[in-house]
Amino acid sequence: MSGAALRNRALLIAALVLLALPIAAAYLWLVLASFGRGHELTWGIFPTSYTTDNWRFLWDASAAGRDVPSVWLATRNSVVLAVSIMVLDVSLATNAGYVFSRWTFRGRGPLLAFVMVLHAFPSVTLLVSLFIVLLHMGLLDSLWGIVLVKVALQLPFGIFVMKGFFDSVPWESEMSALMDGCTRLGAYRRVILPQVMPGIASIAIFSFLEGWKEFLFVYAFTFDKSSWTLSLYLQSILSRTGGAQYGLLAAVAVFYMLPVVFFFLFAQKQLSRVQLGGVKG
Amino acid sequence: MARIELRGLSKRFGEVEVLRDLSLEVGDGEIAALLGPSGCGKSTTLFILAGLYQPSAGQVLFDGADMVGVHPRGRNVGLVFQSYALYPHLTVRENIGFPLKLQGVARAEIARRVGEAAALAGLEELLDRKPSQLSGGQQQRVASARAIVKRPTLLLMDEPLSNLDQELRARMRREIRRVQRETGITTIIVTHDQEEAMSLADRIYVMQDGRIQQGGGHRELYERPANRFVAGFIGVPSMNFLDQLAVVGAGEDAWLESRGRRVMRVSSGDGLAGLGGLASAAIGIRPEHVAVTPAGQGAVAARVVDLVPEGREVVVGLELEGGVELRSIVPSTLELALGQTVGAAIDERFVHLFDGQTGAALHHGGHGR
Repeated sequence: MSGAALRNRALLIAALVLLALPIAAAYLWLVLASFGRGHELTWGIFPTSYTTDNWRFLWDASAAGRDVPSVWLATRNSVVLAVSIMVLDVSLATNAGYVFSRWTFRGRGPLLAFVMVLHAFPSVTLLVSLFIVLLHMGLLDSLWGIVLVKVALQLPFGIFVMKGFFDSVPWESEMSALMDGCTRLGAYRRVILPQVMPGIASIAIFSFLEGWKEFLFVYAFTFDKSSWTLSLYLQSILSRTGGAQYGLLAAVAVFYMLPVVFFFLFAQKQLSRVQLGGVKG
Repeated sequence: MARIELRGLSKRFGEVEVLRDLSLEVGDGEIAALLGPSGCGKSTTLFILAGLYQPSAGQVLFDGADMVGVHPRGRNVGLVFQSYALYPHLTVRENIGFPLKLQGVARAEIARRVGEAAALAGLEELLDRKPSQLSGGQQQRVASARAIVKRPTLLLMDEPLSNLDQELRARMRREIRRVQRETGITTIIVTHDQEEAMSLADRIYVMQDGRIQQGGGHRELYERPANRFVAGFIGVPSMNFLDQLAVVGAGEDAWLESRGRRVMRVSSGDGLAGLGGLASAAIGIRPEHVAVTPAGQGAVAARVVDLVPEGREVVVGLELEGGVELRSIVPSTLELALGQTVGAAIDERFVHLFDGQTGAALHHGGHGR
């Protein structure tokens, strides 16, 4: 590498570090705060003394207060919600994306356009009508109703992304699989799907996060605390009358964040591994 | 190994008729080439043979058995795609072994046969690479190995060498011939490159507009082209054509005119002058049969308008009086300059004659006579 290239690289890294620093600092503060004692931690970055008291909510349900359900119940609900949305969204978007990419049928263009229009509505505007729909379907006060709503709202985006990925897989790949002895379905499963793994991975991450962070619909469509997810759990601690316990709040926030970090790290690796393959024509 | 026959094949895509009443035959263990310009329907024919397309009408016979309606899986045909269509997520070993895995061949047997095919294609060192880590020539070999590993009855190759550079192409041609000889698999190659067709195939089918124009060995196509299209398509540089013909004068001073201008001397008797229907016909003459002579020597006068050196020879563009253009090919030792006036002498013995309407050959000169 020449001197100029080296200097450019150094500048780039410096710029990236500068950009990342505030975010990293905020997370560092959050983690430190979760181990801080009492109210001291509200000032400055480093707490004056450390304790694990804030984390007691993990094993002692009463530590977080009587107005919230067990954190493990909320976690279970969050996992059920996020994973269900992810599984449904990925499988529907993948199959629909394939059909939109490969098959020509009457009304394909308009349908594709309509699907995109669907995506343009902010979900808040649909809140009341969705409430009524769920009420009549008997899916109110249930996570499954929210799963269906979330999947329906995200599906257009997923279909669009997957269609793009399928478009980039050449027809020859599929024909070649048929020549080698695959059925049409076999070609899809053994040859086409592995080539769109980066797309599947990105939709999986995206839809999992959508479910994990969902607050509005859970808040609006469930009434019983047994249906609470971590986002409602966190909100309830934050909005307590008489002031929030910031140590507890920070600990719950870190707890809420951890699975996402792990999930992202895993999916990221998956993403880059698959992309090494690359189609060369 | 099989004898392949297409009978009365036609294919329509909606309103477009891509193949019309196409018939051809390839003998057991032969290499045949489908040669034609792009859009002539040669790849469609290949995909019908493979079973990827269904014909609108006609028969596809493998050893006499009609394969129309049989899924590609049931045909045991190997196909090498122009783009190679390797599976990017699989290693070379897995790519080659893929057809066998689908057939449910035992793992040890797969390993043995992949090794065999890889050795045949010279890929032993590359088995653990991914396709993206291979050069174009290596990818071509993997595609070929994958196509022959299942011991197909028919091997199809769609423009197998078009993505390779000149030098590699020559080498891969030799390799394809060698592998075909060693395996004895009946092979059909689709190409737009006549050099490739000539060097690879025992039998060449020239296609245009969804029809076979002519099938035969390379000498037959060159010396006895069935029509004007084949005559113009086969041969580099391509054949000269002259139309609106008439014979004027008689005896020692008889001339053939094109568009009212003298283009060559003709002998009376058994020569061109004796053929009827000249007015509506066209003559074809290969560049090597147009001699460039010193100016004024018993030939028509011409001006040198183009010189394309090709090593041993040079392709000369000649303009006759009245604007008729001819191409000639002469040894490079003949020193010519642009703008120079020379004589152009068409060798009457090698003139081909084509019907002005249908383009069908009426007469072949030279070896074809």
